[in-house]
Amino acid sequence: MINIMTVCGMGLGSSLLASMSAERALKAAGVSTDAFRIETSDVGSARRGDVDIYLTTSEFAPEVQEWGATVVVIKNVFDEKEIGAALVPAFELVSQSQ
Amino acid sequence: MDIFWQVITSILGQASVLVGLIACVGLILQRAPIDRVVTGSLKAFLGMLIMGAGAAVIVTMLTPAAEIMADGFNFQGVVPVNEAITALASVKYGAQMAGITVGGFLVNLILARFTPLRYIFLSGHHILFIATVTTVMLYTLGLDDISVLIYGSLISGIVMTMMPALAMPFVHKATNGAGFTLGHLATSGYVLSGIVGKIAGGDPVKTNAEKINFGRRFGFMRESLILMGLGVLVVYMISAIFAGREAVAEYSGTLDPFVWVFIQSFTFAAGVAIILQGVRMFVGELVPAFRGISEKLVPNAAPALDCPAVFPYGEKSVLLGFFGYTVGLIGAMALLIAVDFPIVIIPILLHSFFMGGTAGVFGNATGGRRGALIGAAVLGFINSLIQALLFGQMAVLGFEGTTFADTDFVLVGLLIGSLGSIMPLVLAIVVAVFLIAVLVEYKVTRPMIRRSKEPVAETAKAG
Repeated sequence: MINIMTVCGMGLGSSLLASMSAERALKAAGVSTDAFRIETSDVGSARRGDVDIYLTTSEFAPEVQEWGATVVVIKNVFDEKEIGAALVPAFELVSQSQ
Repeated sequence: MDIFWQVITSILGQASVLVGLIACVGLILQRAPIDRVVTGSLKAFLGMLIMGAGAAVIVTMLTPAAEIMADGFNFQGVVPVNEAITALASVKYGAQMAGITVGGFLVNLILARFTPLRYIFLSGHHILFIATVTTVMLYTLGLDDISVLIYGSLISGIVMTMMPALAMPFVHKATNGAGFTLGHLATSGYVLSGIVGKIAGGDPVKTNAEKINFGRRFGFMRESLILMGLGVLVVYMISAIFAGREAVAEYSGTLDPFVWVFIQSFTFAAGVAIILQGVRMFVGELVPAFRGISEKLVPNAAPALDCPAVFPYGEKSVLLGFFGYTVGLIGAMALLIAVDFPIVIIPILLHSFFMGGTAGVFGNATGGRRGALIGAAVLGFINSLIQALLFGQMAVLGFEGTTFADTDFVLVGLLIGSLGSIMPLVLAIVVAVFLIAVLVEYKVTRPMIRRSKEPVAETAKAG
């Protein structure tokens, strides 16, 4: 099980949209829904030990990248193709190392 | 039979149960597996309960704060936080708010299906907030429950369709045609910023804000809860100093009065954090359902997204907007104090980031860096003044120390509050703006999108 967390300013809007897009992108890439979990969070409380991949925009990337986990940076939170292209390779890397 | 009715009214009258049921229906419509239906419904239900618990924390903080500020200065300090006022309102009007949340979504769906404005509003928290502002303002008119539900759903749904349409030309320009628009109900303010940017700004290409190099020193402005706590602390502490040690000691119990004020200020942020967690839980269940339903019924609609969706397209503009909005906000605060207005908006800097940042992106799109700064400053100034006006109009409902923040909520609230006794007039005004949005769609947005696709269209022979 890979824990993915999408991060935005309040953890209400953009992160939720990104999580929906990420879920669809992973499904489209043939990843089983049992293989991952996606949570949404605001940047202030997103720093947690059990997160494998953070998915966020360039706005928050500098902070998130200091936390040590894999960080996937995207531009358009609604673009499944863009998110898939960035997230799926990172997802495979993390799954292999687990 | 009596027991039957008691069960029914308990279900329909309790927002938490009602929201759980709505989520349940949404999940079933999406054909979710049974375990997802059960956990999802309970999560939405739990989210509403958590939101109510956060409201309680905020009330215990705001009640003495209002009295101490009135002691220190002769004004009532108001913290404009949508989440806070929504949580407070949900304790009393939760069931109606839940009803209008669904009703507004359905109206948006119908309008997107049958009018040229094919925009689906996907910011769940803003659907809830517009439902809240219409609910509470319609109740100030003394309307019955059914009228509140109908008018509230109509007004919310129309606003949620026209605002994304009005934002579209600016978003298209700022994002180079990313294919989405804003579903963030401060849009009238952003459009204002875009227009001000056009008039007062410079050349949007030559003076584009994105060419500035700021470095990375501004991480603090993204910590929304810290900003909120600090903003409240500054005003609360100054008021407490003016009110005097003894006056504060009446509330602070065994603690040192000023230490207590420090703790109380951040208790506000703590309450908002709890509310956010609750909102996150039920919005997380509702939005995917809304999205699933709309994709089936309105294919090819453009999604209307939360404002930070445009931030990656204008990081520097967001920063300029932050500073511009803050200057405007402080100007408004100074003005309210100078004219002895009984209500003063506490500058919590939260909106400088979200509203100011987005206003900066709009202003930059039309007027470069100067457009971003001035557009956001004008919005910060005007928005803070109208927030204070709305709080005055809501006073009859007895909510302590908090009000709606974003421009569209405030304007819709003021519209219902001032003209609500002539309901057809309110609806006519809302419909008139909707028609303007249709005009913008035909005259501005569509030609703009066509132009941006031209080189491609030539080879594709799109006619």
